[in-house]
Amino acid sequence: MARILVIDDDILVRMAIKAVLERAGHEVILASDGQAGMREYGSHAVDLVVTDMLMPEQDGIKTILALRKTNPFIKILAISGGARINSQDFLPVAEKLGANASLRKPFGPDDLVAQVTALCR
Amino acid sequence: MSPTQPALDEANDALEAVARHVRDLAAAAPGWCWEIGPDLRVTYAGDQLKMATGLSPDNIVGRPLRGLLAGAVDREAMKLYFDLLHEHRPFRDIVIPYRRGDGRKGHFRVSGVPVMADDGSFLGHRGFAADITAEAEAGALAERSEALLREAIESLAEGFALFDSNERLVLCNSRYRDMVGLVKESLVPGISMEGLLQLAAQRRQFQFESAEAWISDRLRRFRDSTSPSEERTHDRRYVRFADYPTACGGRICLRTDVTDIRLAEQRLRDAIDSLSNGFVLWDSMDRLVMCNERFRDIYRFLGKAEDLTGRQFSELMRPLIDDDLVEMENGESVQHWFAGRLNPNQAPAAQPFLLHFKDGRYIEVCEHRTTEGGRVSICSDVTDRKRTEAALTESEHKFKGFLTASPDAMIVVNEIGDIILASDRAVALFGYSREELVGKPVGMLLPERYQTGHKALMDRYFANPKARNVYTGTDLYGRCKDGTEFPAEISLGPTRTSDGLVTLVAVRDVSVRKHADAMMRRAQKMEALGTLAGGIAHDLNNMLVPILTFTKLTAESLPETGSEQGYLSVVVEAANRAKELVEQILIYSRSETTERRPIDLAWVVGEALKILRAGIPRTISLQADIASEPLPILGNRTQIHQLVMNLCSNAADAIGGKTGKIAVILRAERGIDGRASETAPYGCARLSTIDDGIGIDEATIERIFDPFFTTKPVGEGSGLGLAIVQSIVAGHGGTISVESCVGAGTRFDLLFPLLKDPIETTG
Repeated sequence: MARILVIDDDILVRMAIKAVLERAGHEVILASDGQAGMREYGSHAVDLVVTDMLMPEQDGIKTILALRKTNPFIKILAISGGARINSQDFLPVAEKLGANASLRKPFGPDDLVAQVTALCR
Repeated sequence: MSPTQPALDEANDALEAVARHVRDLAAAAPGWCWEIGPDLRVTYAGDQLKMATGLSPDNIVGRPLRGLLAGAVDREAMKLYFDLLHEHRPFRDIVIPYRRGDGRKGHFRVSGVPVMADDGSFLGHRGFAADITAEAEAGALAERSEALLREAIESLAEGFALFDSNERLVLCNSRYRDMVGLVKESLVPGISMEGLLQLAAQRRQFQFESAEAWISDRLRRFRDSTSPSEERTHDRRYVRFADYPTACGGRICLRTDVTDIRLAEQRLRDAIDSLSNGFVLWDSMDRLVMCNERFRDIYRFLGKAEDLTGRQFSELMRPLIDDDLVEMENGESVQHWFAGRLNPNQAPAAQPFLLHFKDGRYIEVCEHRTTEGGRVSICSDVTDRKRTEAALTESEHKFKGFLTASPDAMIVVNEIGDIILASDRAVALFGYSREELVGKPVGMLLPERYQTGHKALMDRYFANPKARNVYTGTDLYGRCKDGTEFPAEISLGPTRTSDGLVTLVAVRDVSVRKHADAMMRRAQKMEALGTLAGGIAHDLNNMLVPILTFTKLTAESLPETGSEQGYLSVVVEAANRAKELVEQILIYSRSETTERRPIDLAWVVGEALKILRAGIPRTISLQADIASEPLPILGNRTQIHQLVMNLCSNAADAIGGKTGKIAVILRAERGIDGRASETAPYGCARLSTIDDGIGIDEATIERIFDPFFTTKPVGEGSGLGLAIVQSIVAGHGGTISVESCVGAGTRFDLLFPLLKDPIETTG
């Protein structure tokens, strides 16, 4: 069982991910943007961070960089539903910047559980 | 006392001797002796009468003289003769004309003395007569000849005078007198030439500077009979002197008044001198007869001082070639021209020709034959004209250069709208030859539907010709020879010229710009769409996460066999389709912004076809005809894959379940559609897909590239396949075109500009 921090600005996405991961036996902490995520990360010992890429206040790229600065070994799973502007695909960038894996939205519960399991192994 | 016999005999002998003497003399005389009695009957006639007249003396003795002379023709002479005889007077050399036996006129010459008896009584006449017919005829002839000669001399138009060997005047005619008017009265036979000259000098009959010199010169000419000379008289007439020797040492002097000739010559000379052109006359021997000052101005090397009369062309003009002064404007060699000019048989050039002097002058020479076989040559200095012409040619050249250089098609039309000039660009744009354009109404370059309106527009323009752009409220179109039309912008520029009002019409083919505008609008649309798609994709993807997640979780919490499982699987299916759609939208919106590298299009297309083959129904044959040589383009492999997939899967869909064929052809081409293009300096690659499917109708074909337009049932196609293809082609700097025939199939042609550089084909 792992303690997983989920950062996403979409509450429906956060709820879905929480439901799936808790059902798989993990403990889930939620945050609605990068800054909130970093605060949660600072106050809990977390095994894995699942972060969206495009968010208000602090986006996924900054969050990954900040996490890596704090802890080079923390496991990070980047998720993204694509960019609002320029249709840019952030996921390859996220992996280059330090995300251990990435998952493209929309994904089903099985994909997410498989990825998280692989990362927490 | 009676005379003694001896004395008598002696006297008889002496008498007999006298008689014989007389007889001998009579016999030797050229006529005959005669005697007539007081009754005028012939008493004696000498034997010579018969010789001279054929009459025998015996036949006339005893006959009356008047009867014998009945044939005499001159009554006057006869009267004189008989009066003398009647008056018993002596007479001498009376000539009596008479009619001879042969009818011709004859003459006697008769001399006689009266014979008196010792007692003083009259016994008759005795005398001598001769037939002088021949002598009289010769005399008359001589007289007539002299009269004729005098008449002839008198009738001469020239003055004529004959001087004997002592230089004394024998005779002269009145014309001669007229010409020496002031010494006329001295022209009496016997006056010496020297005397006449002194008199003439004294009275200033002729014009001279020194009398003595003039007299000695004239005398010398008179004596030496040198060539003719000319003198001017006190009354300014010109007299030509020509003196000739006669056979007997005398002199004949001929004086001709050449004033009229000289005045005519002078008038001719004045006329020639007043010409602004150079003039020269050469005689049939090519000797200079006369030339004017202008001629000497033009041919400067001739100088001004020397008299050129009589000089040969070949000698005078030789400096032209010897000193290399001139060249022929027509490119002929000067030597060749000169040699031809010296040939007397060669006719003068029919056309004027130009001599280009090395000092820069251009001389136009025009030659004509004269009636006597000489040549007249008129030379004009046309340097200014040549310079103007050159300047004109240059400005015309520039003008044409401007016309040609203009990116617009330039057409010049006259006042009635006929084309008078068309630039190369105009010829190329409209596809007509220049000959087909010039002289035709400019309306021929417009589509027929504009013809009527054009007339009115043209009238309005000519009523107030100002530079303007033609604006009709709608798009303007030009019409090419082959009937095709192109959108055009037309501007008019009027110019007043010597030929009237001409208008420069600039026609700009704006189809490229229109196309570029369309491309620009499309790019903007794509950008907007990209933004929109990005936003939708992001939010939709987010929304799909809870849908998929909670549907799955709900399904897991429900009995596996319940009908709820079926409902939930539809939700998942719908969510998956939404996911796919979003993917397509993202591909589409990213299609023009992806990174491109040099790739070998042939290799990439070949690879794509390999993968494609597996996904196409077996009823469809896929025929690939791919260029064997590399076709380097700047591109994105993934996108080219996508493009080939989309085109071929569309083609397969068009064929449907039937058997059919898809051909994929890839070839290199020069330029774009055979025309050189700046965007494809190394030519392009043409990728064609041809299917024999159901085809696309006209209404549909206009929309096939529109995003989300699809003819497929809902759920089977996103409507983005061809939009993505077009977007990728555009992103590659290429073009796409489609041809289709309902029921026969569809053909797509894609052109990609080629790179010259060797390609980098990554495996």
